[in-house]
This record gives sequence, structure tokens and C-alpha cells, in this order.
Amino acid sequence: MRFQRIREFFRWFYRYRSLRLTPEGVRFLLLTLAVGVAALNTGNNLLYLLLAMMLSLIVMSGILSEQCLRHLVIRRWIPDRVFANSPTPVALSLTNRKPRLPSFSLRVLDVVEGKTVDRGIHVLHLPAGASVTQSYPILFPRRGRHRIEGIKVQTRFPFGLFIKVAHVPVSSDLVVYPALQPLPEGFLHDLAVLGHDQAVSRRGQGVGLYNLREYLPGDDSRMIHWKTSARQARLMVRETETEDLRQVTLALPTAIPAGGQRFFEPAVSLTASLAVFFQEQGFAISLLVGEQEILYGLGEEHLYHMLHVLALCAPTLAEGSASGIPEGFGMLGERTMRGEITLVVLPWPDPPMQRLAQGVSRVFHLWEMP
Amino acid sequence: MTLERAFPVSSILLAGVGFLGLVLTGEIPGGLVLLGLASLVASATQAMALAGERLARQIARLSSATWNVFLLAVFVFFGADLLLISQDILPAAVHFLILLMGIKLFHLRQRKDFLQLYAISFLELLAAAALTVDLWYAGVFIAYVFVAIWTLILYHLRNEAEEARAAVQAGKELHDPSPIARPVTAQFFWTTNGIAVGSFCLTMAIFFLIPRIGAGFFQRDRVDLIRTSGFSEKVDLGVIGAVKLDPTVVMRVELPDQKAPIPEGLYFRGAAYDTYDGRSWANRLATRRLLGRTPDGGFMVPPDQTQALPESASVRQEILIEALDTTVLFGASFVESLKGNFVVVQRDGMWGLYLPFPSSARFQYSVRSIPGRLLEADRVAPSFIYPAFIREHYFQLPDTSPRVAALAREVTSAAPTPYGRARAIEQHLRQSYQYSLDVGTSVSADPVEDFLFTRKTGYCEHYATAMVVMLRTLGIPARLVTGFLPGVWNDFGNYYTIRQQDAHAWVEVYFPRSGWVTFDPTPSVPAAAPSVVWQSIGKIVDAIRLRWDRYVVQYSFHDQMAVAKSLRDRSETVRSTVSDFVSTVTGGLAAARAWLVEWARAGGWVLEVGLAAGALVIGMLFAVILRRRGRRQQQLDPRTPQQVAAVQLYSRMLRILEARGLQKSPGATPLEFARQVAREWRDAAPFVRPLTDLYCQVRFGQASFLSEETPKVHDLLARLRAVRR
Repeated sequence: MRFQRIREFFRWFYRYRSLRLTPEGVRFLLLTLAVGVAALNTGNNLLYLLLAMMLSLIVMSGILSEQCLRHLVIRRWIPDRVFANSPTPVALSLTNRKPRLPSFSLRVLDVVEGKTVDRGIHVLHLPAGASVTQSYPILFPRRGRHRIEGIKVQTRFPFGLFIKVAHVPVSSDLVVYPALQPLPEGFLHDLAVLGHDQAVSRRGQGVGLYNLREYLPGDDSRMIHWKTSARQARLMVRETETEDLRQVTLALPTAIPAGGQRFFEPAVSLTASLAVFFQEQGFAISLLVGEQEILYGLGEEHLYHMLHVLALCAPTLAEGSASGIPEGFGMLGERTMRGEITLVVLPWPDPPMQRLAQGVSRVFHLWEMP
Repeated sequence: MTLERAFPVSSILLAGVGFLGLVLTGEIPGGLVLLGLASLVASATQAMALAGERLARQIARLSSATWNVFLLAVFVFFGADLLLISQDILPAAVHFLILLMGIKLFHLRQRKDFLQLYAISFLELLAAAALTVDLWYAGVFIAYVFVAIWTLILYHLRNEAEEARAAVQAGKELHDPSPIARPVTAQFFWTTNGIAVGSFCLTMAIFFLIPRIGAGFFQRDRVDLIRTSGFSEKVDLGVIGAVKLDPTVVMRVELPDQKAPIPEGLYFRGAAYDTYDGRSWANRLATRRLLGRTPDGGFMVPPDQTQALPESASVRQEILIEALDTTVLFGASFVESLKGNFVVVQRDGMWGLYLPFPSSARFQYSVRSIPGRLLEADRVAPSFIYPAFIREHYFQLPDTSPRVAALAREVTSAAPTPYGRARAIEQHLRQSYQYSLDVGTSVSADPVEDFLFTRKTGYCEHYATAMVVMLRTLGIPARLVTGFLPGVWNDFGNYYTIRQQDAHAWVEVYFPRSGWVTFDPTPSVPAAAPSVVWQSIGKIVDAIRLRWDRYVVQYSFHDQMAVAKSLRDRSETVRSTVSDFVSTVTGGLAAARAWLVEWARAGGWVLEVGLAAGALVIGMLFAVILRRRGRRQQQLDPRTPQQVAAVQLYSRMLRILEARGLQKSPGATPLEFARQVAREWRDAAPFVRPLTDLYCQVRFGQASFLSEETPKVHDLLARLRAVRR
């Protein structure tokens, strides 16, 4: 604990710095060395004077570049919703908190998974007390958890002999949702028909008339239909038909045999695209991903919850070419019978799953799709 | 002027400063100077877009092939220069650099062209350092530091702007307005100058700290030796006269222990002569011996066995001497010891000091001298019995006219003592003869007789020779000494500037107890008074030149050791002073305590009670004062202690977050900041939010901060500190 405190103290006291030479810096150092050797050989004090001048330039370069990098406050804003393979704008602000001294030639780099990525943010002059905000697009090729470990700020000021880099631990953790793909026209037509066929009228909250019946104690008095009550000479209440609450269940098995991984990502992407489509259509969506089940829900928050699960889902290796069927999958047929839309996305040929899928609304065989 | 326009101008200026350094060495042929100057002026007018730039533009439009031909011609010229014309690598390289600079000034297009120009200018400065050590180099160097800082910073900004522009065009970067297109602001100007000043100060600090361990190999003989007269083994009468109008500085002598010139005057002794053949002086005791070393590395001059033990205070001199064509080491009469960067020092039989060979460069050394003093016994003695050695060497006379001896007897007829006679002859020569450098062209058979009886004019050699001859005719041993008078005292540096024209000859007369005593029969001649202003300016410049030579050109390992030793001595002095002070204080406290104890013992129980009561009263007074101060503090700060505690805890939380890269901006409220933390560092949110809520409630909501909550708060802070980001 104590060592950790000491280490943190030094980290707080001295931010990580690195230094490397530019090509001009290499030549300058070689020339300095040559002058030093000449001065030592000849004992000429004027050569020592020139050597001292060159050494002082090196020292001044270090001091001024350090001043450029000190008291810089960097903030990064990443949108909460990031999709794979989709450029996402990230905002980065750089503030110079020095009261009098400007900073020059600042280049801001991201550190992602140990690699330095140049986003093209180059601030040539940042006056004292000034702030600059720039945005840049970021693209994640894969879904899942990502970590942007920090930011490196580098400068070559003042003489371009050295590149000094400051590592600022501004890390960001984010979950990248699966890439969305446009659904083909044929899909959309089939899905629209499916929804219509399986519509069932039920009593519930809504505006359409479902039934007129006699008033019972406890009924909402606002539901009394006065016209009918006047005709019938008794209190009649109006029952409404529930809004066309369409429900869809999306199912994606995760246990895969060896060799089936290559279809898993397209399957996840298709599942996510379906979820987005149905959410836009106002469906209540339930999601089955392997053993994990998300119950029906509506709205954007529910959608992003599902996307979060899809982002983090990982295939598990099944024994042989078939897999055991998760419990939730076994209920799919029942849901279909109840009038819900059930869609199964199969990344690979799985006979038990294929047999089960015969009782669902629609099965997508990824290995057959273009 | 925009920074973009200032950049080529400063680059050309940098080349110009380096070129100036070469020109001022005086080693560049006139044609090359003109060529270099023309190139600089033409390229500067082009860079500044001044009128008359048409020619420069026409030149700049020459094709690359043409420039390559020029370049080839320069290389051919370099080869010819090295093999046939200069036949020395350094001059040939310097000529080559100037021609290359001229070509490059009209070909400044790409980044590498500017870098090559900077390299050329630096090499020019380097070459100048090898060719000269004069004071003007300091001015050129300072100018170079300033211009180099400007140029390098502008070069860097320009490169960054060009790279950014290229990247924006390639779509790789986001646009940012370049500062290079903006005018030079006052802040940029003064900041850059401040950087230059800082760099210069750092340069001087590093210069003085770099250890001097160079062996001095491959050092170029860059200084022409100054021709002197009057210090060889044989000198003809009249040689000193040849240099009496030469203002060339020969040496500068500082008197570290004196702040004013010595009123009695000093004679900087060079060589002495004992044998006069009627036309020239020679030294029959020219055999040299090596001087022994002192413990501090100096050289001890053994006292002349014919001289009395010195009783007067020594005079310390720091002598910076030019490269002369003589091996003589000068010092005020009579040298006791000397110290310098010498391998060996020799002396002859008349205590003249010599190096084994002439120095090819300016050098410095320090001398300690004991002025000769005439003892009273010698002053009043009517006659002396001289040792055989003295009689053998210092009574020699050439065939001279009996008139000289007669004149000597006549002049000294009233003087009863040898000292009186010497003084009488000295006064007679001073008063009865006229000083003149214009001795005439006639060649006399006996210059002394000619001087004493015919011309009655002459200069120092004639006066001194006449006195020695006259004294020897009276049986008083004497010898001729050549050296330098002190010259002009420089108030600004507290040193003497000694020139060729200060070369002098005087007489040393032997007295058995006192040894050799200096006599000067030459009358002093008032010099023409120059303008006071110019004289002062000249002295200031000469003082700066001396400092430049002493502390830069001649700076050596010995100087570094001397500084280190001085610092060590000073730190020892400070340490002992502090130690003495502490001892004094503790001693005083111990004495006071002992007195109090004794007093208390003598006072008995009444005194003890009284003291206890007094202590109690003082304690109560302190308590009242502190309480009032606390109350006043509270009146100034209306916050309750709980609120203060909440602020402190919240501040600690902010410091922890700041160490993790999350800084609360001044405009953000505590809750806004807590939300920001939740977004950017989710793991810390469970600790930050409760702390923030507590802070807001206590600080702004007047809620109470119970003591039981303190451990909980500390625990939250500890867990926050432990979370890794």
C-alpha cells in the first residue's frame, strides 16, 4: 500500500515524458560532438564557447518544450452510442492553463490498445489561457469493449531538434455496438406481412372500441358511455381495444462448433439491425442471446440495452456440430402460437436448432445468405 | 512584418553574422569579401521585397544546371586553392565556405537549403574562432546567439505550418490557422529575445563549467609575434629608440592587491647587461639555470646572494603578455616568485627570467616581487669593499675618453658617499641633458662621449649607459637593465597597459648590504594629452579586452581549480561563521539557564511560587489572545467548522481526481462535475457522487456533518484513491 502511494506520488509529481530525436536533431548532436572533440583537441576556448552555445540550445530546447506541455488540460467527449464500422465524431478540447506562456506546435495523439494513433489534431499556437476544441472521426472495426488508454501530446518546439511527448492518462472505456447493415427489401416485405397476419385484438389501453358492457362498481367513471347509457337506461362502460402491441422475439444462439466463427459476427450484426428496425417500427422486442434473455421492452433505452448485450456476446465452442438448446429457445414455438413474431438468426447449420426453428415465424440461415 | 517574411530575412542575417566573423579576422581576400557582401545584400533585398530586386530575381531564376556548374567550379577552385594558392587547409576551407554561401543565398527554396545555409554560417563562425581571439569575436558571438534563436524558432514554426498545410490538403489534418502568417507581435518579439538572453546566460554558465582537459594539440599559430628590441643577449645602443613610437600593446599588468597605481612607479625588469664595448651591451652571465618549484606549482626565484633579505611588502602582479619574439619573462623589480602554465622557467646570472622558447600565443602568469630598498647603512657609508664577483663583472669599462671620468668626478665632487655620487650623476643627467628620440644619423665612435659632450640629447639608453660608465669610472659597480615602464594606468580595470613605446633602459647600482638598487637618469617626458573622452573610451575598451582575454580566451583548468578552491574556502568561512554564531548562542543560553537556576535556588519557595504564578498568568494571556484571534478569524470566515471540514474533504477528492486527469473547471458546479466523472470514469462514480452530495448538503444546505460520518468519508476517499483508471 505504501509503495503504491509512493508510486502514485511520483506519477503525480512527474508525468510520463519521452524524448526522441528528429533528423535535424541527430545532425545537430553530431555537429556538437564534432565541435566538442575539436575543442578538446585544440584547447581553444572559443571552440569551447561554441560548444557551450550548442549545449545551451539543447538545454533550452528541453526547458521550452517542457513548458509547452505543462498545464495543459485535455478533455475528450465520446458519444455514448458507438457502432462498429461507423465513423463517430469525438470531440477533444485542449486548454492552456498557463497564465502567460503560450504553447506551440502541439500534436495530440490517441493511445488505443497500446498503439499511438494520429487523429490529425495539430495546434500550432495555443495562447495562454486559451482553449481549442476539435473533433475527429473515430472508427472501431470490431464490436465489444474498447479502451482508449490515454492521450499523448507531443511538441517539437522550439527548434525542431527533439520531439517531446507527454502522456496524459485520460482513458475512456466504451462499448461499441455491432455494426448495422441495411435489411434487404425482401426482408422488409416479409416482415410487414408477418406482423399483419399475427395481429390479435385484445382488450386493453387504447382508443379503438372493443366492447360495451354494463357498469360494474370499480370501473373508471370516465369510461361511462353516456349515449349508450341513456339508450339502455343503465350505466354502460366502454372497453377499448389495446393498441396494436406488436411483439417480436429475436433469438441468436451462441454455442458454435469449430469452423462456425466466421458467420457469428454477421449473425450478430443482422440481429442488431433487426432490433433497430423493429424498435423504429414500435415493436416490443425481446432478445435471446445464448443463455441470456432480455424481456420485452419498448423505447430507445431498451434498444441500447439489447445492443449492449449483443456487443458483448461471445461465441462459445460447442461439442460436435450440434449444440444444446438453451431454455429460452424452447419457448419460441409457444410465443409464436401466442401471436408474437419470433425470428431466429442461425449462424451455422445446427440440426436441433433448425428443427426448433421450424415452429418460429422466420429463420435466417446466415450461411446461405450472400 | 509577418513571421513568414521575417523567416528568410533572419536566415540571411544569420549567414551575414557568420560572414562578418570571418571578415573581421582580416584573413579574407578583398574580392571574396565583396562577393560575399554582394550576395548577402542581393538576397536580403529579394527577401524583403525591396525595390531593386530585379537582378536578384533574375539570378534566382537561373536553372539548376547552371547552379550545379557554379557548384562544380567552386569545388575545383577549392582544390586549386588548397594545392596551389593558399596551400593550407584552413584558408582554403574558408574561401570555399564563402563561395558556397554566395551560391546558397540565391537558392533558398526547400527546407534543406535553409539547413545548409545555417550549417555554412556556423562553420564560418567556427573558422573565425580558429583564426582569431580578438575582442570583437565576443560581439559577433552574442549577435549570432540572438539571431540563431530567432532563426531556429521561425524555421521550426514555418516547417510546422508547411506540414500542417500539406496534411490539410491531403485530408489528414484538421485546419488550424497558422501563426506564421501573422505579424510579429510584441509578445512574440520579447519572448524570443528573452529566450535568447536565457540561452546566452546558460552558454556562459556551461562555458565556465566545462572541464578544460584539452592538450592543445593541433592549435594553430594564429598570432604574429610582436617584434621587440633590447632583450637579446647583446643589444646595440639605439635599438630601444626604434620602438619608442610604437603603440602596440605588449602586456597588461593587473595589481590585484592595489586599487590605484603605485606612486613610486614600477620598473618591469626584462634583461640586464654587464659588459659594454663602447657600442653595445652584452651579458657575460648568460648561462641559464632552471628555477625550482614551489609547493603550489609556481617557480621560486632564489634571492640574489649579493642582495639583502627583502623586508618590504611584496607586490603581486597578474601579467597578460602578448606573443613576443623574446623568451624574457617580465616582472617588477625584483621578482620573488612566479606562477603560470609553464613547464620550466630559467634564469641567468643577472636574474633575468626566461622561457625555453618564445610563446606563439598570448599567455598570462602571476608574479610576486619585492621592491629593492636602500638600507640606511648603505646610504651613509663613505666607501665600500666590494666582493670579487662584483669587481670582476661590474667594473668593466671600454676604451672611453678621459673626459667622461673627469665629468664624473666633477659632478660628484660634493658627494661624500657612493650613494650620494650615484644620486648626483642621476640628477646631473636628468637636469643637464635633453630627452629626444631624434638622435641624428651620424655614427659616433664613442656614443657616450658624443651624448655627454656634443649632442647633449638622447633617450633612455644613452642616459643609462652614460650613468653606468660614469659610475664605473668612480669605482661604483653598476649595470644596464632593459625592460618596460608601467605605461598608462587603466582606472576601469585597475591595471597598467604597457606598450612598445614604454620600453626603457635604466641603471642598477650595487650596494653591499642592500643589493642592487634602481636608478633612472632619464628625465620624464610628459606625453601629449589625448582627448579625455577618447581616452576614457579607449580605456574601457581595453579593460573589456583584458577581461575577454583573461576570462574567456585564457580560461584554463587552473582557473577552474582556483574558482573551486575559492568556493570551498568561502563555504568553509561561512560554515565556521555559522558554527561560531551557534556556539555563541548556545553558550549564552547555557549561561542564562545556569544563572536562573542559581537565582531560583537562592530565592527559595517564595520565588518558586512567584514564578509559577507568573507562568500561569502568561499562559492565560496566551489563551485569551489565541481565543480572540480564533473568534476574529471566525468573524472573517462565516463558515461553520463543519462546513470548513466539508470543504477540506471535497478539496481532497478534487485533488485525487485531478491526479487521475479529471480536473473540475471553475465554471462547473459540484453536481455537474460529478456527472462528468460518471461519464468519463464510471468506476469512480460510486465514490464521487456520495461525497459530492454530502459536500453540497453540508456546505450549502446547512446539514450537519456528524462525527460518525467522518470514517465513512475517509473510507470513500481511500477507495477512490485505490481505484485505477
